[in-house]
Amino acid sequence: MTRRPSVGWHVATVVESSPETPSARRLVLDVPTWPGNGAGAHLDVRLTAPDGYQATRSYSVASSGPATRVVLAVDAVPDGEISPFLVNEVRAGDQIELHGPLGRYFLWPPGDGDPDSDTGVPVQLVAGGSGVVPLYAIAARHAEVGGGELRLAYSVRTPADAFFAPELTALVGAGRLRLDWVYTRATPAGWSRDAGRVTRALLQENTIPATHRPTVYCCGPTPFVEAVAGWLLELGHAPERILTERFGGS
Amino acid sequence: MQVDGNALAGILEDGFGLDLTGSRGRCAGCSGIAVLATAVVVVTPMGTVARCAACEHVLITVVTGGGRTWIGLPGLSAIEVSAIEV
Ligand SMILES: Cc1cc2nc3c(=O)[nH]c(=O)nc-3n(C[C@H](O)[C@H](O)[C@H](O)COP(=O)(O)OP(=O)(O)OC[C@H]3O[C@@H](n4cnc5c(N)ncnc54)[C@H](O)[C@@H]3O)c2cc1C
Ligand SMILES: [Zn+2]
Repeated sequence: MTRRPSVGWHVATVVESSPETPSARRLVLDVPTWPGNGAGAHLDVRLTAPDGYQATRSYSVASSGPATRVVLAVDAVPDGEISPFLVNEVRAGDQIELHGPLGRYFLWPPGDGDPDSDTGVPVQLVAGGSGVVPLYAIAARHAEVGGGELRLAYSVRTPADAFFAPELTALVGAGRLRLDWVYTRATPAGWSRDAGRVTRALLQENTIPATHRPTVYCCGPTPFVEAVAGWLLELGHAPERILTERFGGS
Repeated sequence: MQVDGNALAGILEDGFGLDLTGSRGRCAGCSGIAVLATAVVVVTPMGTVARCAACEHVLITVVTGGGRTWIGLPGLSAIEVSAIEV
C-alpha cells in the first residue's frame, strides 16, 4: 500500500475571480504542485487569520485532468464564515492553501477515475444549486472521453442562479449532454412548467429510468440530496449505483 | 451542520495518508458494511462526528485543538484498504 505522494497541501495563487451567479464567483487557481485530479474530486481550502486561527472548508473542483489550473465555484452562504470571504474578498494575486485532490468515492469514471473502467454505463447527474460543480466536471470529462448516455437534472432557484450555464449549454449543443432544468422560484419566460421544488414525479420524468441501470451522481444541499436519494430508491435504482455528496445547509 | 463522509476525506488523508471515502467499513454497532462516504457526518465547532447511516452508531470522531488533531474510531470494527493501490 503506497501513499499517493502528490495528494497533500499546496499553495495556490488566484489567477481570476469572476461572477458566476449573483451570489457566487468562479475562482481560477494556479497550483504549480497540483497533481491533476479526477472528475468529481474536491479539495479543502484552509484560511489562516493573522492571529493564527484556521478554518477549513471543502470545495469541489470544476476542472479535471492533468492541468495545474484548478477551477472552483463558490456560493456565498449568508452569514457564512468562509464562503463570503472567498466570494467577496479573494481576488487575483491572492494566495490560499489547498489540500487535495480528495474524494475518490465521487469520481467518474467510478473506481478512482480509472480510465480503463467501463465508461459505457449510462450516467445520470442530479444537481441542486452549487452541487453542480463536481457534476459539471464529470459532464465535461464525459464529453471529452465519450461514454454512454449522459443526463443532468439541475435544480436552481432562477435561471440567473445556474452555475456553468454557458458551458452546460455548449455541451447540450454539441449533443454530449441532455439537460433538464428545474426552476424552484422563477422560470424563464414562457417555460412550460410553473416554478416549484423537485418532486418524485418530476425526478422520474427528468431522469434515466432505473431499468437502464444508470450510475447516478447526486450532489447539492443536504436536504436536497436526502430527498432525491430517497426517491431514487423508491424509483427502483440500486443503492450501490446511487452516489451522493452532501454540501451541508439546513 | 450535517454533511456526509465525503467531507472527512481531507482530515483522514492528513491523518492516515489515504483517501478513505471509497473504502467500505464495518459498523461495530450493527455489523453493516457501507462505503465511508455514505456515513452521516455532523460538523460542529466542538468537532466532527460520523455515524452509521443504518443504525446511527458513532463510527468516527474528530477533535482539533491546540495544534493537535484526535481521530477516534470507536465504531469501525474493520476498514477496507486493499482496493487502494494508488
Ligand atoms: C465535499 C464538499 C464539497 C463542497 N463543494 C462546494 C462547492 O463546490 N461550492 C460551494 O459553494 N460550496 C461547496 N461546499 C460547501 C462548503 O464546504 C461550505 O460548507 C460553504 O461554503 C459554507 O461555508 P461557510 O464557512 O461560509 O459557512 P459556515 O460558517 O460553515 O455556515 C454558516 C451557516 O450556513 C449554513 N450552510 C453551510 N453550508 C451551506 C450550504 N452549502 N448551503 C446552505 N447553507 C449552508 C450552515 O448551516 C450555517 O448555519 C462543499 C461541501 C462539501 C462537504
Ligand atoms: Zn451501524
